Amino acid sequence: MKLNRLFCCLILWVFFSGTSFRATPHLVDFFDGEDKYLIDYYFSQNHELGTQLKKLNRLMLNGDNTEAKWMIKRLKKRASASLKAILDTYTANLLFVESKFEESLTLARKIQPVLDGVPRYQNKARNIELKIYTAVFKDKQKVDSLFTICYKRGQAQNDLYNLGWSLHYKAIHLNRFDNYNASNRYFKRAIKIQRLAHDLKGLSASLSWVGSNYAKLNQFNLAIDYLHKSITIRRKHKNWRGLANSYLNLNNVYRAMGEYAKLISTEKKSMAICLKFNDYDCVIGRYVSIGLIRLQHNDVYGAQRNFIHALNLNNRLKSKHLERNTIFFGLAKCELKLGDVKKSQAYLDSISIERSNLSLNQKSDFFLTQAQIKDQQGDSKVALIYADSAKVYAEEVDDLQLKSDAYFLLKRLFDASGDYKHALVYFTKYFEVSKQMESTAKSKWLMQKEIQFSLKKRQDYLINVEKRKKEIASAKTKNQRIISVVLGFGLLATIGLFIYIVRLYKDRNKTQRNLLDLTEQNAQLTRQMASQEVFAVIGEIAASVAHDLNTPLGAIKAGAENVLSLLASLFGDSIDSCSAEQLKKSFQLAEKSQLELFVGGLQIRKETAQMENYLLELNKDIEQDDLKTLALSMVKARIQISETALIQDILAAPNRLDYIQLIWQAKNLFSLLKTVLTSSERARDVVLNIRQQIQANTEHEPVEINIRENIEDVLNVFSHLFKDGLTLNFDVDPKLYIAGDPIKLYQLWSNLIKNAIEASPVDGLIEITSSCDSDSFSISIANAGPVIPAEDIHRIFDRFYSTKKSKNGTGLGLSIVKKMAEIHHAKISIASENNKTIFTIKFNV
Amino acid sequence: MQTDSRVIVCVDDDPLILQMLSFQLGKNLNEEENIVECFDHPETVVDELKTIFPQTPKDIILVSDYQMPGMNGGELVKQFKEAFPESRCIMISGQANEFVVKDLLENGMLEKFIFKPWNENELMKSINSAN
Repeated sequence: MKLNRLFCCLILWVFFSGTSFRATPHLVDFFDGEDKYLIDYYFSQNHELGTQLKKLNRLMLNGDNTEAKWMIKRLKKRASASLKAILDTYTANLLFVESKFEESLTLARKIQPVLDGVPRYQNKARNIELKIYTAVFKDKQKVDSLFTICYKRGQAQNDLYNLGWSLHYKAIHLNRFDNYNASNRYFKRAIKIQRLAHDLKGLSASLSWVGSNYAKLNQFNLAIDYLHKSITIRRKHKNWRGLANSYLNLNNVYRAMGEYAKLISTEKKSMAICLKFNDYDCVIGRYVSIGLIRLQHNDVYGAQRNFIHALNLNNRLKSKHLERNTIFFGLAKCELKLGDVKKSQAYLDSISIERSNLSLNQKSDFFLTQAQIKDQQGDSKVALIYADSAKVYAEEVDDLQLKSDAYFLLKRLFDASGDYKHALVYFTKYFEVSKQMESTAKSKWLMQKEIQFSLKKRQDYLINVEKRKKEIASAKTKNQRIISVVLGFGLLATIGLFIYIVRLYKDRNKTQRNLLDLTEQNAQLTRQMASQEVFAVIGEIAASVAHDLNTPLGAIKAGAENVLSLLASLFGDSIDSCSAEQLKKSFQLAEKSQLELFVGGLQIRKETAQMENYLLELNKDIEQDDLKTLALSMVKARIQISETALIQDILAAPNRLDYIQLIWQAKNLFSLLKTVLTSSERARDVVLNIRQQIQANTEHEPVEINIRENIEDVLNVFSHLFKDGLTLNFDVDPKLYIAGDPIKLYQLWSNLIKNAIEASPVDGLIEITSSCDSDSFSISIANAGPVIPAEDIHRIFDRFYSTKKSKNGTGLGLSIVKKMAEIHHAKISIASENNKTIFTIKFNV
Repeated sequence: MQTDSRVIVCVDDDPLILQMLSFQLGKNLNEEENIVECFDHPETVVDELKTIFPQTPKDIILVSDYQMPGMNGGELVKQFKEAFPESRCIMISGQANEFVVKDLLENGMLEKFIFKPWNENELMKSINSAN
């Protein structure tokens, strides 16, 4: 994780430079790994490729450089020339991040001609070039010329993405020459374009830069505003490294503003990000930062805590000495403040070996601390030497805080040693530096804030006082009310509870008994229900029953409703306006005539026209309007043209239309009620079928049965059907016996006979005959009628198969026959030809 | 044939149901403006309608059952919609859990599904509802 180490070092380095954030290299910002704009384009072209690029970007965003390299290598294997060039842009970026600038530059130059032909990537390599020049080589001319090329090309090709980045790099370039206002101008142009191109990564980077520029210009509010915008985008975008960087910049602002608490909270947020990636180096860095902040604000114990966390982590991870040095530094200072000089010295000694790795600021700080220790130990001479070195470094770095500390210490040391001349010199210097520090925006800003804050505080306080008084007053009454209500409820609740418990006790025995009974029943039921057959049958029947019953029920309901409404109008108007004679005639007509179930609308119109003509023939003086209404109502009442007597009767009546209406009502009453009757019969049949099916599965003791008697019983049920034309030839040997279940056999015969009757024509013949053998006898049921097609014969015993178009059967009839036959070990055979169908059941004796 | 009247086509394999439907519709609807036709063979409905009304009536409503031999209500609705794209289809049936019906309702082919036994008012409301 090289980059992360670099990153942490940067943070520490920044921190040690105290208030000066002049040379904060935003190296992280140069890494434009995520080209969302471009990826989406490639995603739409080639799903696979798009996904791979997305992955690659994510890796680079998370800093997984080794993995990224691997992936690039893998992808390059089966890649086209243009794809290789695209992947090389990533390689160039990686090289950049690893600070191999020359290599990166050469690579970028190499791939640019190839990329010229790749859409959307045309200016990418040039941009990388620009980036490198901006970051490393401060060659103003080169940067300007590169920028102009990129910008012009970007404009010409309307390549918003690369255009944005060109402006971005130019702005960075200006920033490095401390031209913050101009830099901001370019960044803002970049932001506009990046917003258009939806380049969130670029946008967030630009926003972050603008923030830090404003910080340099001491416009802290604007700085914070922009940095927050950047943070929002980066957090949403999950650009953790960018987010860490933004937090870094934000902290610089907070440090300048002296916002101690916000500083620490931002550091903690950064720590959370580090933990997300198990980047413990970063976590250590954060602990150290927080420690140093706390130390600066004299929270020694807090600082110590953080340093010790950092040290523990560092020990576990066995990291580089650089961090350890910082930690020891911090701990040394803490101990010094706490007065434990020995420990402080010990810590300081652990650093001294690697002193050469310290920066100038750090060296100054080191010597200063050492001097302070020596001072505490009473060794003024040595302390002076160290203090002097500290001063030299501080002046070299020109750090106000360090200088002030150094001068102050020197002044004191000289005071203590009696050298007042030098003491005065240094005191003057200290005073100057302090003034300088005061006059910085930091203090001004702080002061302003203090004033504002105290004003606001006072206002709030006054308002609060009023509020509090009111609150207390209302709270008192409120409390009293609440208490009384609660007590009341409590009392009722206890009473209720008491009654309930008493009841419960009384019922306990009863419920126990009930429970026992129920468990018994339940056990019984479960035993019964365990029978799989029942389940299967119920399931099968339920489906067909639902439909078969609903239809007749629908007809019954509608029929009944319609009858009621008819009766209402009959006894409402018709009866008043019609004579008794007419009433009688209407009902006679209704009884006799069979009303069709329904007539089509077009047929009605046709017949109405015919009726109109007829009526006109009969009576030429009928008025046109009357004619139309008369004809229509007659046709609706199904009065035929042939019923001349009736028609004349109607025409002669004074209340023609009422009379016709009466006839219509009467006919409909009869018809509807017949329908209701038929439907209820159908419903009954359905239920019977179900019962049969269920009975088929119950066991009974085998009994000796006379076959002829058995069939006769069944025939009795159907005797009424053998009146109108249908004839029966019954010739069964009376001496045939079988052991079995008579009821089941009833079902067998009744289903066969019913089928025979239904299939047979009106004047057909049904024959039931028997024949004998040595070891068996057969019963045959034959009916004239339509032949069962050969291909259907094997299917007719399937449950639910039915050629019947009527709604009577559940389709279970023949399957019942088959089942009953099987139970009695009988065989069924069918012969169907020459307009005759014969079912034969063969029983073994 | 006149095509400015509304045509209501009732299809059910049970003639008793057709009787009930035609009675209810006849009671509630005006003869001048409505033609009610009943069919009990779903296979021939579309063809017969095409011969009866050579010019497609502008307002045509189908009231059909689901369980019918030969062709079930779902297929009939699909055929009907194909032949008369601007028609509205209503289904009255005793079946409660047909996925096909749900499918049709969701596709917008079927406007309403009414259970048997049906409520006359509900039927009239759905037939008269916003044309």
